[in-house]
Amino acid sequence: MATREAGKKMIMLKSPDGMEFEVEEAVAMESQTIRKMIEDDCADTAILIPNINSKILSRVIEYCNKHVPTTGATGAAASDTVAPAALAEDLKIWDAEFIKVNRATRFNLIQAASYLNIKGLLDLTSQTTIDTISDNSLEEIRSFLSTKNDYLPEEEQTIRRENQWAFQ
Amino acid sequence: MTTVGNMPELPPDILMGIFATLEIPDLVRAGSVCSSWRSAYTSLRSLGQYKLQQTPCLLYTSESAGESVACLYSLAEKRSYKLTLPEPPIRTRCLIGSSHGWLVTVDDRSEMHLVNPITCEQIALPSVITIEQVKPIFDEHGAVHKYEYSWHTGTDAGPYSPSIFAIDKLRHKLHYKAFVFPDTSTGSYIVVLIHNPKCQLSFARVGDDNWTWLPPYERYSDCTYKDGLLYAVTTTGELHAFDFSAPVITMEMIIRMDSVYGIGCTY
Repeated sequence: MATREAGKKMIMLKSPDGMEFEVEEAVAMESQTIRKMIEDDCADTAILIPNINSKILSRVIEYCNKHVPTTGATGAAASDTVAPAALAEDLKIWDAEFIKVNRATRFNLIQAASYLNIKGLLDLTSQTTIDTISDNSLEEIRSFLSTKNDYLPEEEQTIRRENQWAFQ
Repeated sequence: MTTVGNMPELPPDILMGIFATLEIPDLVRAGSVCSSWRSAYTSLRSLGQYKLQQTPCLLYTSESAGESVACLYSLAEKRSYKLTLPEPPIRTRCLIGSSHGWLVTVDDRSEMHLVNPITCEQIALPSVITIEQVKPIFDEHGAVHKYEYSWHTGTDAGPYSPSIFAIDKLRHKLHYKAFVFPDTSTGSYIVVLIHNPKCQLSFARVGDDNWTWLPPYERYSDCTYKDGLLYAVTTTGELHAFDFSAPVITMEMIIRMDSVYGIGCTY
């Protein structure tokens, strides 16, 4: 954790499993959901984030910390001396590392990004699923996502017959 | 959070958000993965929220692919798909229009269909014999074997007495251009046909038994439809608006040309 500068407003985020995370308001406001709560004065000093456990919430905060548009204070990369293009490139590499998680974690992150309305994180986490769907066969999609084929054999046949062209 | 075994599943709204970014072939495959993905796919289709800016595809037929097969070349994937379409064979039909995913075809009996090449859905349009200028001629067994084609318009009886066409030849004379418009009031479609003689207008809603003629004007060239109004432009540059929301369709002249003689084609 980076050292906080004095005078920055802090917000406490609480997960349903009882963990508390103290974050800068600016970082928390990467989430449009939290931003709305703060702007509407619904947030006191602590905000309970339902449905998102501490493990996932800490990853979400990690993402917001990295992506908050401030210079300095939040990490080594966000320095005044670094050109924007290099900064964007650095973020891309960081994102690619960040998203190297198992499927269950990724799906939890997608849900968290959706609930908290963090567009960048939603795009990042969804993209892996989009890449898996694009240009892969049905069997490959099912196996990559370990999605269970819950069709009865005759249902599967009907679906394949209806859209036979797409499975060539 | 719904789970299958220990694996979390994506909620429908997130799945739909992901599906809304896909090209059609990918979308169709994704819609077949499992039942929850299928229901997200079905909702997306019925809400019309799929990606609207699809990368264009080329639709074509070829002798080697077969009489009932249309080929779809995907620029995004740089590959082609073979779509087996319902009878009558697609290679025996003329294409007179396409919009909103539907092709309007005329078969070798001069009858029209809407066919969706992606879903293979097909809708037969009202028979050609319900068009104002067309009458069937029956053979001794009671089957239609020729058509009588009248040259009249809304304003005159035409220059000739009616002509007789073989069933597969009428389409080359009668059909000019067709348009498919979503009919928001019924959730169905309106098909507008520009047909001869003299490029007149007729229309049918999907499910109608007959074509409805819209006299007396002619020389129509193009159409569009918005909020219950059909806008039709003529080759002389006139613009007419037909109000489809009224019980009886009325026409308003938006742009009038006082003399249509000697001014040539202005649209």
